[in-house]
Amino acid sequence: MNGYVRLKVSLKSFFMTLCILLVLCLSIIKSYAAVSVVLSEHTQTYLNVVSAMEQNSDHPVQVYAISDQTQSLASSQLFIAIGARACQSVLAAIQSHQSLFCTFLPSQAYELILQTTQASLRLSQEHLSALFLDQPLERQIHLARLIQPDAEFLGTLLGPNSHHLKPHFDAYSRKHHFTPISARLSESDNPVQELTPIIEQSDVFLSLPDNALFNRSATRWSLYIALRNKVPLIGFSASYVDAGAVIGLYSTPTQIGRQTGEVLDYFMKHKHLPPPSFPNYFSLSVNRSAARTLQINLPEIDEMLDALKTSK
Amino acid sequence: MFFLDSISHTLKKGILLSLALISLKALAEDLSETALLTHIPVVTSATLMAQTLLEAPSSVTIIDRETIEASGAQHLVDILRLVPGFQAFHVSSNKFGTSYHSVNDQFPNHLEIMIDGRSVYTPLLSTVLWNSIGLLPQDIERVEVIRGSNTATLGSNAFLGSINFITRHPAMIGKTEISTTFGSLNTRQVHAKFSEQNRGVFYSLSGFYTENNGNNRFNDSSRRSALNATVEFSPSLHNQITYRIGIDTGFNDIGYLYPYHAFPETDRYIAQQDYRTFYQQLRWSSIISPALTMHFDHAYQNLKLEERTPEPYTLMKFSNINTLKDAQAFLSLNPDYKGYREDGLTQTLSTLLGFEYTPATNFRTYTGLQHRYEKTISPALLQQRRIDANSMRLFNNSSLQLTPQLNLNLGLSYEQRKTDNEAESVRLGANYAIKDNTLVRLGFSRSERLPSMLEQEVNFGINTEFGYIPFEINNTSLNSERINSWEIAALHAFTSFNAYVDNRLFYEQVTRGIVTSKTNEAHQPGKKENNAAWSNVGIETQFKWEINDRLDFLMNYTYLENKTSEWSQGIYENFPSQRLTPKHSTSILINWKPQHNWNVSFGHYQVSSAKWRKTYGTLEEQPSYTRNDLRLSRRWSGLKQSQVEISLTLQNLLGKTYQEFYQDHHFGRRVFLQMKYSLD
Repeated sequence: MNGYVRLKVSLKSFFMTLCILLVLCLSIIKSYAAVSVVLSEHTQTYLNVVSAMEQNSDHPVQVYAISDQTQSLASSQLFIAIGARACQSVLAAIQSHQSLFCTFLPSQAYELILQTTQASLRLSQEHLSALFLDQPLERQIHLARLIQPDAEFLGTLLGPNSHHLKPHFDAYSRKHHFTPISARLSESDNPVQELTPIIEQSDVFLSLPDNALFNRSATRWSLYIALRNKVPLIGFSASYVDAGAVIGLYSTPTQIGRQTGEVLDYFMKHKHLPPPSFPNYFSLSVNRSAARTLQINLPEIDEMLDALKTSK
Repeated sequence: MFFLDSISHTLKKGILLSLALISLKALAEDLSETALLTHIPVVTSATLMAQTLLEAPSSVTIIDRETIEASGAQHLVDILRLVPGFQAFHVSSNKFGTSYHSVNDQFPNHLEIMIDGRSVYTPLLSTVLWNSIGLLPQDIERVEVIRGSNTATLGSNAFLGSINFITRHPAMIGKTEISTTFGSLNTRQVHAKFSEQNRGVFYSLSGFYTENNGNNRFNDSSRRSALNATVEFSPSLHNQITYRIGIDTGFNDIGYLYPYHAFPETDRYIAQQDYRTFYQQLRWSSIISPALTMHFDHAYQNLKLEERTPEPYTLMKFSNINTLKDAQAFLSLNPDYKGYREDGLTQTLSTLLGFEYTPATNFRTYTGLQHRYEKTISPALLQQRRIDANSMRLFNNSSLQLTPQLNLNLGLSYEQRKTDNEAESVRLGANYAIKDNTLVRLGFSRSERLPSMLEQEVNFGINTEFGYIPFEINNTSLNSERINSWEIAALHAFTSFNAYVDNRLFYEQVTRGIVTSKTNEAHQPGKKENNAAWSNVGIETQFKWEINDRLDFLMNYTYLENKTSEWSQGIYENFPSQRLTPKHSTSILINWKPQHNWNVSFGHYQVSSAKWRKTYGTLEEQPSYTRNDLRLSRRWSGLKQSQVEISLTLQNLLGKTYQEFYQDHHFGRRVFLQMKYSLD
């Protein structure tokens, strides 16, 4: 009888162990996916990036939320981090033989992450790269020239995270025959006092993205003062255009996803990543009402897109 | 062994990750893709949080400056004809009203009307006196209308909805703008606006003078002068302060334009009502951290109404008093007698402290505490008494993005006036995005409206040689009115056509509605009671299409099946199972710019028959009407960024006179010519 009980207990233990192993196996098999995608947030915007990426790549990926990426760390060959938080999170845990491609994040955020994590000491350039969400400065300045062919002064406002762009802003402005005007705004400054002289002197005003707080506080005043001075303002998002910017230059999640899919295919073929880049695919949207108010005749959107793509 | 290594490895990584995650929040709040994806606020009236139309828990209509101009609106309420479900009416030549799904009289009291977030509700009359709020359509930048109960955010006054008129920001207007308008009713109006910026401070000064003679039959005229000033500045990047002050003074003629029992058959009693409004508002918003913003709003409003006492001969003409001696005796016994009793002083003081908190990217919440002090003094309505009341309101609105497609909104409000009046409201909304451009919203709200000060405290009558005869007495035990409403809304954007459609299917049940009731016993005064109930079921559609740069199309249609279920006013007319509000209403606005400097707009309005209430019972049915408006404008640009615009507005173009509200108030063809000069 004792033998029967022992056998029953042994069998029970055996099945329990088997079940645990089975679960672990499934977990390990899942983590063996060659490419893991880690999302900063499980929201529609990020899923749109994933969806466009999958449509433009032949390679399957496993998608994880930032909170459950531990499952993927052991054996993934390539991580695609969508968003700044995902990028920073994966970079903190990744091993030197693995690769990380950060996408859908601002270039400033990527630079900050590299500085804070000292990632370049652990990962070579071939194993770490990025696709930025923001647009290259020259493309934005080129757009300013396209909407105002005769303009002389190009203005912008620089915040705590964008002030280092000033030499580039000046150089590209001159390249496109503008006289650059800029000011730096800190948190203790009165934004109207800083913005007004810049916008009053400008023929076109370029709004550059900075951190979220800066954007939220400065954007509204930029729009008001630009509209009051009848100066066309170039925004960096579709909602900026909805709020009153004459034109906006930006990449949609779908466009970023498409290029990310292409990078994935490139990696699978060449086993290394291309250098960090700004988006190749981008959109323009126009606020016709604001253009009418400012009495600006804008070229057709397709014409401007072609011109910007040609100069890439 | 391999598995154990793997588990151990994974656990180690997990610990590392959790440490890393702590530092992630700092980055996420400071610098991430959200900085580029941040939505610039679209509407704030629904929850006081900046939301897009797709995130809001209610149906929202926004009317922008261009649409306001194209509509040719001469009065603020006229703009609301372009909102689905809204009824805008001229009670008489210079008295206006608007309602939404309400069975109202000439004092609509179920909507919160705000100017830049400041309530302009008048506790004395339990309504809004549109001709005393110091603004013309020229002052308005846009209008945010919440269609559906908004008590969870704004308190009792927003029982059936709310309207926020947002004035033109000092930065959004040219340095100087002067306009003059002449036209029907012998309207003469001049409006001026000036704005400047100095040392980082924006300020504007605007004012107007307007007068008209009213209609030919009653000469119910008006003369008004108003002055408003706004100062706005940001002492630092994350602090914004706005201060507004204004005064509106003059007179409006008021009167019942229907066969009231004491009036001669063809004549109506018109009384001059002098008024003076003074207001101040201070707003301060401070971004304390990336996740926390504080809002402070303090507003003061003072309105003095002085209805002229009738002369003895006038009293004889419009009452049952037959001799001059009796009329003089009556007036000596009732020195403060006012024919319509719209007389008195009212003050409102409101202080709101709110915190907008975003602890996670998918969760936002706004918690506010509001104190409101109301004071009224009215010999005519309240028997000389000074009545005041303090009320407190605690409310919270939260928005949770549960899944990529599903956004949930919860609103809660608790309001208390004195100790025995309480109102609780809850609103739930689930917004489900079927596609990027298609959204379905399910909503439920259960809202309560505290009885107004007037409804509770009204107390008037007349002194006679035999003593005091009360006509209406107070009822301090009134309960809150209540509404349960359910809605299914669908929004779809035709992205390739620059068009969107917004449909709302609703069912609303109002109970414990407050009406005046009078028993059959002799000489018993009337009293407000919770004796009314009605329901609304229907659908509203709004379709907006920007066909091209030169042509815009806006259409609204409402089908409203309104039915009173319980309605008891004692010996007077009771009307259960009746429809009072218009069943169909349609508005269309086409705005066309054939050439750069030309603008042609055409408005079409169709409203089916309605029965408006009076104190007891209803007025004679307002027949259905159709009205067409046309506006033509031409601009000339001059030197030094100056501009001149001349516009001609024809209202009720085809000229078929129709009844608006009172049966003797007829709206014929009206023509207005406006000249505007602006300097940037």
